[in-house]
Parts: sequence; structure tokens; C-alpha cells
Amino acid sequence: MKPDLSIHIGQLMMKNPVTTCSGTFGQGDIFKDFFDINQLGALTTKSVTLKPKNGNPPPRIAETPSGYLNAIGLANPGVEAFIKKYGTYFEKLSIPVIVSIAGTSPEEYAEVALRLTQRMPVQGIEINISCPNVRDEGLQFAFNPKAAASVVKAVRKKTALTLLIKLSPNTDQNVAIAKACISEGADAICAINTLQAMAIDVNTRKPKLANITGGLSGPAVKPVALRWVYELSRHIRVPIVGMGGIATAEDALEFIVAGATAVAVGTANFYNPCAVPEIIHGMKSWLSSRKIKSIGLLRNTLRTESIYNHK
Amino acid sequence: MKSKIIEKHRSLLVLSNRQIQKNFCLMQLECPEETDSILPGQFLTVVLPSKESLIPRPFSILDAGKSKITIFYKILGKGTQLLSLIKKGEFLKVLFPLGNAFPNVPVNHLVLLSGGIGCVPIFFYMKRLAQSHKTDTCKVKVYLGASDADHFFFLDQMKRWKFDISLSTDNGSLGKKGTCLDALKEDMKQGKKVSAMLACGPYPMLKAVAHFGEDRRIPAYLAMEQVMGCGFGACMGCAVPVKDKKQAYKMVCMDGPVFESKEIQWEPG
Repeated sequence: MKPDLSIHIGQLMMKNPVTTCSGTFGQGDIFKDFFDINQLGALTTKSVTLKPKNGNPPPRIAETPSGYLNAIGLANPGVEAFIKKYGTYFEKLSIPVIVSIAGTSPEEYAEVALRLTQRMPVQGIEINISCPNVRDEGLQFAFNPKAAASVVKAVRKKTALTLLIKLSPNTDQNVAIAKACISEGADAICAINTLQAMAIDVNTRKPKLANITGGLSGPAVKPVALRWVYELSRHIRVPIVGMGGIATAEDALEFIVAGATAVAVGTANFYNPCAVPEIIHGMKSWLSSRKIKSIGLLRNTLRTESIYNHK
Repeated sequence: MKSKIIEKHRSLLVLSNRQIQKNFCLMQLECPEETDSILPGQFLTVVLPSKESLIPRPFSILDAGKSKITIFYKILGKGTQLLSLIKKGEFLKVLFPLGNAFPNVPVNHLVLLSGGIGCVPIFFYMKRLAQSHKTDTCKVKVYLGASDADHFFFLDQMKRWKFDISLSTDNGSLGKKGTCLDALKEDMKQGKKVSAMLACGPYPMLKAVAHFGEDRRIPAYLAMEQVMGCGFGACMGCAVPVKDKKQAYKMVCMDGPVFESKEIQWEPG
């Protein structure tokens, strides 16, 4: 039996529920040496900003137990160079492309979205309001429902593409933020971005990142991500793209059980460049071995009944 | 110069992994695929057999050929500690060859400079030179620097290739007292000509070589290092500041690890 893995998010038709976390997959091109990118359910790019961004000084990466700490700082060539460089490449792909965008004001996000919509073959836009490693872009919108919604509202005015909004785990406001964003036209919620974190070398007393603090990702953060997906799925009705430490098919399926419609693979790409095809294959096998006909049947099926009947 | 990225992780058999000196280890891997095309300056990454240490560790390649790849590493932190415990007969997930390589420059009056464990790609370059040139007449000079007499590696092998080798130590316990660059400067005072420099070593050494090269208008190619997250250009972690109008940083894994010295922004810009 071949299980049906296809899902849709807004207007995005995905043949399987697996995409990539922005910033962990380049623009996809780098991975062509490892596998055919068209195996993905959708490609999510590294975040693009209106103007080019150099990123942070090195060191930008540090290891923590079962985790990566990074402070790349949204290094990207800016939307114009991005369109010029990747337009033809995206056109040749047979899968939907979601471009992640970041900015310093709702207007800036909207301008980037407009240019992408008008001049690039993209199907979705992920609004990244939750990068912890930049001073001006991002976090100022991540902790407040009104601020987050103002970005979605501005972007929605300029584009009819499917809009996803990526939330930070560093707030207790995510349910309210998600609801506010949905009411302004967000089609889906991505949870989660990296956790604000740091690492210190006690011998030198220096921070391990030049940026001092960074964002934590990798298997270490999976339980946090899973809890957010579960929490959000109980309160909102739009699709959730679950992400945070997914490295195996089982990890991905846990997110589906918790309520995610799709999942994204991030840090695992760095240490296992073939993680995505392995996960897709593993999800198929898992479903078919249990005779579950479609991935949708697994969604939101967390069994919370207790084996004890204590009152 | 660049050879193509091999498209996926290989599981390579560890033929040997031993400390040849306290905290310095030599690891030999069996590689059934083509190894002769691997170039001096290129590196590989090793996935550690650990659920806790996930970042693949990059290592410059010491030697490759005849279906074998050798790396030489210093036990410095958790990753190299773990690596040192790997036993002969185990398998390791390895990605290679990565990065560019030292350029093929004319050998006449070429100078190779190495500081400490920076001898790794220099050794590899010497080996390939020895295979293609008459080393005793080709006017290549090798300047090896180390903290003390105990930190020169593979000297016997290097001597067998009949290169003209100069040794210097920080404490004067062997060869000249001072750095390898000091030794080169002294030779130049005596009239030595230099057409180009290839160097690998700690950051301050590479910076000194770069400044020296720029002052004397001698091209210098430096094998650099940086903390890496992936090794193949996905994470944008291993940034090195460059003098470039278009970008403030280049990536050691994709654009390097060998850079021409004039590309690098040594002082805060």
C-alpha cells in the first residue's frame, strides 16, 4: 500500500508534508549534489531582506549538547540579487517554493513580498519575525500580537500568495499572536524558530559566539517545538508547519500527531545532508507498515486518555 | 582549483587511529573510491558517533592516494577527544573532498610556511611536489615553525623528499629561535628570492605572512580555519572577513579554505 502523503497549505499543494527550515538549506541549490530537490514537499529558502545583509562576525556557530547554537545574522544578498540569481532556478523546480522574508518594518516586509510576487516564480512567503540574531529585523514583532499582525497585514496588502508566519518560542503570547496573524490573512503558522541561548568558554571567559547570544536549534529543542505545536493546534484552525530538531521520520510523525499539517527539517541538514529524503521515505514506510492510508489520518491524534481512572 | 564535491557521506573503515605523541593523533581511513584526485589544502568532515556532538568536525587532509586518506589532528576539545577513542575496524561517516586547494604556482623560488599543526596541508603539498618534481633542484624552500623541538611532525619523511627545510621554534630548542616567517626574512636579507608563499598555521602567523607578502609584493596563499557548522555552504557559519565590495564575508568551506592573502580583511574594517 502506498500511503498518501500529500497535503495542502493555503494554495500550496505539497506531495508530501516535508519542507526545509529557512537558513538551513541555502536556496536548495547546494543540496543538488546530495539528492534531487524535487523530492521535497516544498522548498523554503534562507530569509531574504530588502537590502543585502553581511551577517554577524565569526565565530557564528557553537556546539551545545545535541544542539547547534548560531548567530549567522540573516546574511543574504538582498531581494534584488536574490531574484536575479534564483529566478530561473526556481522556475525549473517542480515543487512549490516558499521564500522566507525578514525586515525592519512592516513596510519593508511588504516591499520584499511585492517584488517576489511580481517577479519570481514563488508560491508561498514565510514571514520570519523571529530571528534572534539581528538587532533591527525580527524579534521586535515576535512577542506582541499587534506588532506581529501589523506585518502580516502589510504583506497581505501586497500579495495573494500563501502566507506563513514563523513564530518565536521565546514568548508566552504565541496563541494570541497566531490568532492575530490569522485574522490579518496568514494561511499557516510555522513553529518554532530558534531559542535565544548562549554558550561560554570558561577557560577564556569568552562567549562562544562573537554575537554573544544566538539561537539554539537541533534535537535539543525538539520537545519545546513539539509542545508549541500541540498548544497552537488546540487553539487555531489553520495548518501548522512544525519545526525544531526534526532529524528522523519518527520525529516528524510526532509533530503530525501533535497537530502539525507539515514539518520542516533544519539543523539535521547540516550533519546529515540526506536527512530530508530519508525522513520522507521513513514516513512512508511507517504509515504503510501500519496500514494508515494517508498522513491526514495521523494529524492531531494525540491520545491523552489516562490508563488510570483516578478521579 | 577545485575538485568536485563527492555527493554524499561515505562510511569509511578506520584502518588505524593512534596517538603518535601526547594529544596528537594520526588516523588512516580506507577509501575504495578515487583518492588521487584529492588535492592538498582540501578537507573532510567527520560525523562523530555521538548523539550529543552533532557538528561534523573538519580536518585538513594530510595524505590521500592508493585508496587511503590520512588525517592528523590535535586533541583540543570534546570532538577530537571522541575521535581519538575510535578504534581500528570501526566505520566513520565522512564527507570529502571539501573546499578548494592550494593553487599550482610555479615552483621556482616557491616558499612553503607552516606553523604547528599547520604542517598538515603543507606536508600533503610537499608530497605531491615530490611526486612531480625533482625536489633537490626545484628551488622550493620549506619553513617549518613550532612552539618547541617536540612539535615538528613527519620530519623524517619530509627530509627523505630532499626539500630544503628550515626549522624554527618559539623557545629556540631546535633550529632558529623565532617564527618560520622570521627565518624566511633572515634568508631574504641574505639574498633569497621568493616567487610565492603557501602557508598554513595559526591566525596571527597567517596575518603576519599576509602583511609581509603585501609589503614585498609576494603573492601568498593561506589555508585558513573557522568554526564550521556543515562544511558545504549550507549554514553560512564559517565566515572570514574579506575586502570585497559585494560581501563582507566569505565562507571558509565554500570559498576557501585557501585564500589569497590580499582577499582577507585582517583589521576591523
